[in-house]
Amino acid sequence: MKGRLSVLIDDLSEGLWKKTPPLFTILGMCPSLAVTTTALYGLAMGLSTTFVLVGSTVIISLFRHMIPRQVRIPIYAVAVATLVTMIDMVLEGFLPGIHKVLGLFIALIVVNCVILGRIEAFASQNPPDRSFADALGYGLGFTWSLTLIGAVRELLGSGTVFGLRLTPAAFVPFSVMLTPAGAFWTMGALVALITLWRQRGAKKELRRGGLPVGVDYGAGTAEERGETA
Amino acid sequence: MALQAKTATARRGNTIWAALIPLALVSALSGFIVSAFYAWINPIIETRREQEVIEMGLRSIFPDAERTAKLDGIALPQGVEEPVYEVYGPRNALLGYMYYVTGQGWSTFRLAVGVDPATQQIVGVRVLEHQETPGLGARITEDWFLAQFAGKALSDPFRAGEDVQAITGATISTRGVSQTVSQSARSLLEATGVKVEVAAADSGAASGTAVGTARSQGPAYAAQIRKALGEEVTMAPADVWRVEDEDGRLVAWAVRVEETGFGGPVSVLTLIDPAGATVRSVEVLSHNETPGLGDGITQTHFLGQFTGRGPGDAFQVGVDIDGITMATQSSTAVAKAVKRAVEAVQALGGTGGARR
Repeated sequence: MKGRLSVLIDDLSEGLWKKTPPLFTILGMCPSLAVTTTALYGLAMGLSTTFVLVGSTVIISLFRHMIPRQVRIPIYAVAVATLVTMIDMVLEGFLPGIHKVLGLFIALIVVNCVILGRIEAFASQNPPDRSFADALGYGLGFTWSLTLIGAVRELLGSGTVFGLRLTPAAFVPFSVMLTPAGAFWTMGALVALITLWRQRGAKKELRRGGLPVGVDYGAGTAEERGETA
Repeated sequence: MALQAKTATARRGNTIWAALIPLALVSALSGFIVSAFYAWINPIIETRREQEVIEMGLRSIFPDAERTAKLDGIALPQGVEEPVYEVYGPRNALLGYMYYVTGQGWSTFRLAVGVDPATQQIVGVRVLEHQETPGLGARITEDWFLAQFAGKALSDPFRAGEDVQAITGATISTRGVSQTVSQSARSLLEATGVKVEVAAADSGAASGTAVGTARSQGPAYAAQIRKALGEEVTMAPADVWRVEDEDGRLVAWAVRVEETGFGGPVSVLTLIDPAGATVRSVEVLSHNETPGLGDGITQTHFLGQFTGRGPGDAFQVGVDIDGITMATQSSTAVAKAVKRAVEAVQALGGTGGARR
């Protein structure tokens, strides 16, 4: 029997670096492609999503025994939409600059499949503390992924990262990196690198005899990723 | 058996309620939470917006502004919000008007525009809010882009890629901003009774024609025009301009005609060359047509086809004018208005003796 703390750490690490969306498991693609034109926008989108994810999973987890099965999805959607509306208003009131840019995509958090996925696959069956750890892991994992994609696109597309110029003056930015095509290329390249790195790690472990044979340390199957939709 | 069937039905009924009641409760609770939250945060958002309006508009467009007054009693051009401000600087000098206007690029945006009626120039433009694509259309907020409108004469064509430098990959957004700025400012000044140098709006830049002051000669021609256009045409004192250059030579005629479109009156300004009474350019000053359908009459590809036409043309949609798809009534209104403008100039004998 593992201690409660180590269970929570396991829950946290799953989303944070084991099955992180969208880079490790191809989930939540819409915001990942749409708003990651700069590192800052990726960060802001990630943190907003984290807030909604953590809030909604904890609420659903608290009331998980009272939610009728037949209407669980609409109830999840209402809970998520409530939080999204609130974060939208908070951003507009206190961080107008960010709100101006992310605009429409904040509202689209409602249909972020990472959120509905974690509620359905985890929070609806586990106690609030574990759901909190799980959601926090996935949220922060989503945040660093989006920030990374944003940083790569910003560096190549504008020559800056977080608004700081990192390239020589002679550098001509590839504007195409700021278009949806650039988003796909960046995603593809990052996913390829990560898969390569994880396969190397898995082979090393194998040689040491640490891991069972036949485990695919790539993206894994849909069930392993906890996908529901 | 019958009893069993009945209880099964009853149970099914129960499960529906057992599912619906929690859903209804959750929705009601959500509504309550959101409204309570809104009641708390909305004043903050509103205050922030007002501050933004003052800071964005006054401080950055009119750095010398000392006080503002509301400009009342004018017909607001399309997209312009109430109120329009008069901005006064030191010694009560009118620095210009400032107003807020919603326009359409790739998606919608809201601008603060300052315009000086004395010089007929744009004083400055700021983007208040927009929903353009981050990294592309969203670059309409960048300083270099907005700076090119400051000090720009309303008589310029405001064309993306020509006198307005376009944003790479965002031509539609660029065009949206420049059209919104130029059309709203021209219409606003006109609504306040300022004589806009409309003639230069599309004068041949290549020939460098000097177009001077436009003088309103409306009342003098009213009777003649009314006869030519028919009684139902709206006739304001400023409906026909005789556009003269510095030496008083006739450069063009500018005629404003109002026709009924699908959604209400469509106000069309036609510039007519004195030679041969041919159309030089057509502009829709204001309209209330359906967005996405009838409002296509403001597009250049539609208005452009009138250029060069004259008294010999039919001006009929489907005959010599290509209408906007699904918006025949709106297109017809513009075509009729242009036809009447041409007829009016003809009736004046306004070809300046150069009739061919």
